[in-house]
Amino acid sequence: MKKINNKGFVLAETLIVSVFILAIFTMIYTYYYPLIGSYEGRETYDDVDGKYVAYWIKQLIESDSYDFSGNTFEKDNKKTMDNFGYIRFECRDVNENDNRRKICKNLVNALEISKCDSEGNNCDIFITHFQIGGTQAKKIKPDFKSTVNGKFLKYDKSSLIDNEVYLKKYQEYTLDSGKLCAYATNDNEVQQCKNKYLKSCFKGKGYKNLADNLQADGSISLTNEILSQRNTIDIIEYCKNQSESKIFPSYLADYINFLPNYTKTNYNSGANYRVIVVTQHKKALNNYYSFSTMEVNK
Amino acid sequence: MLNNKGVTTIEVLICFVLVTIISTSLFSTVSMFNDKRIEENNKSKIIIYNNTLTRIIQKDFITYGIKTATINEKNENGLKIITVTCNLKSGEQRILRIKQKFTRSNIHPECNNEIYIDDSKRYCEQDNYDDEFMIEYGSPDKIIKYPIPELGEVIGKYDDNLKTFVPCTKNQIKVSDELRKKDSLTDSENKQICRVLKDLEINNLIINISNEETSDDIESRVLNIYIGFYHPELGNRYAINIVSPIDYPVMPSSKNGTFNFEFNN
Repeated sequence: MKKINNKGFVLAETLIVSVFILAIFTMIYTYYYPLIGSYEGRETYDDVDGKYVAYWIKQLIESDSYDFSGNTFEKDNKKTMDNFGYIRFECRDVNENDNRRKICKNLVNALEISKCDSEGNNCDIFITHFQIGGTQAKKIKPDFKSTVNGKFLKYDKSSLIDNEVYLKKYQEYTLDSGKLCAYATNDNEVQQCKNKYLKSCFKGKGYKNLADNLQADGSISLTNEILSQRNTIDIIEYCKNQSESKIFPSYLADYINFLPNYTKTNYNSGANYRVIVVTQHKKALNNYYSFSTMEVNK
Repeated sequence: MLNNKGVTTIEVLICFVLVTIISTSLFSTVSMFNDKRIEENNKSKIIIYNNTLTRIIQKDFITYGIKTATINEKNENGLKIITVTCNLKSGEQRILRIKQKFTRSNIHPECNNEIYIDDSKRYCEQDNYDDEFMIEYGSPDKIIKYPIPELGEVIGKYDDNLKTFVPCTKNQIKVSDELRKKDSLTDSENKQICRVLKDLEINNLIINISNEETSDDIESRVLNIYIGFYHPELGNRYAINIVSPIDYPVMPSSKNGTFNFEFNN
């Protein structure tokens, strides 16, 4: 090797080599570290247990006793599907004269489906069209991924809304006028919608008297009977927080955006819908979510 | 006059320092990746075991359907055995048996012939001194054993001074092996036995049938099987979790009155 000069040559060589090695390892480190993070995050996507959870929900949906376009308890499933691209599966939409309604309630609780109340309602189980996004799905209007990312159809269905609006839980309900709560224009309509959610939440938690004492302005007249019940204040606080919470929080939105669009030509089963299930694992002091999806023939 | 060719001492020292810094940082990174590799390897073994068993059991429950199920629990000298007997709609029977024994009795509440160390800790005197975990499944005439993955073990004994289990030396293991051949042991001999403590344990068992106690919902019961594992590095996150409705009504359109499950989308 050519000598630059006689003095300080070993130092210069070492410096050059060390800078070179450090640069390479920094590049490798910054490239692989996020990869490890995203791999660990996706560990809970569509795992074996999750697929079986989705399977049993699929069986309930495909049964004759589930009313697909149900219009129960002040929700209009058909409108939700037409405007937002999904329906929330709830056990109250299973025929109450069928044994599957009770099985549904026991099953969703045993499967640890996220956000279910004791009656098997308000669960994080979403039925969507088979295609959930992409240019093909936009012909169906609206595509589910757009709703999750804050864009859904305008009230007149002419196009998608202008600004991003992340749907909140009370916005799934329908006003007495038939308008979806997501299109509520004034405070009065918004309060009516929140009250509908609160009533459902209180009943689901077994606090029917709270639902009965809910006033039009959202306040609750706290009688002695109500105050004597355990955890009343906590339940009121919980339901109010839940009504304002997003239907698709970031961890769920990540999963839905991770899924492919499912173009129909790739799958020959003839299914028209999909079910997406979120499970919250709480046994043995765990607390983490897993996600799964399965096609539904209905 | 001294020769100008060569290097100075300071240059050499600086070079050594630089090389040391680079080596140390690279070593710690490589070591971290190596630990990660071992952890992922262990995780992979547990997950493969869980998935294999889950698929075998769920295949029977889904294809044939459960007609009735009973759960039985017994203890034999510190060995806890839970047996789930499922009568399938096809007329066949399936048995799931989970065996759990801890040599460290803090976690193991039911123990015959206990020896008390002090008020807070006790360990079991038992015929077989080691941890034992096993899952068995199959038809009554053909039960297959599915031993849990071997992810390491420690051979140790209880130290009276430290009040905890410590690894045994080679000599202690030798003495222990000799003592194990004896039919009965004194208290002091019992304390010299080295026990096998497995790293991976079956830690949590939650096996029940929902609404079993009420007769009202007899047709809406759900069998719930949760077999939780524990490993010191991986925690208690991994488990076999099987949920299946009992006597689920089959739709008229299903083939031969059975269900079909495929891992497609």
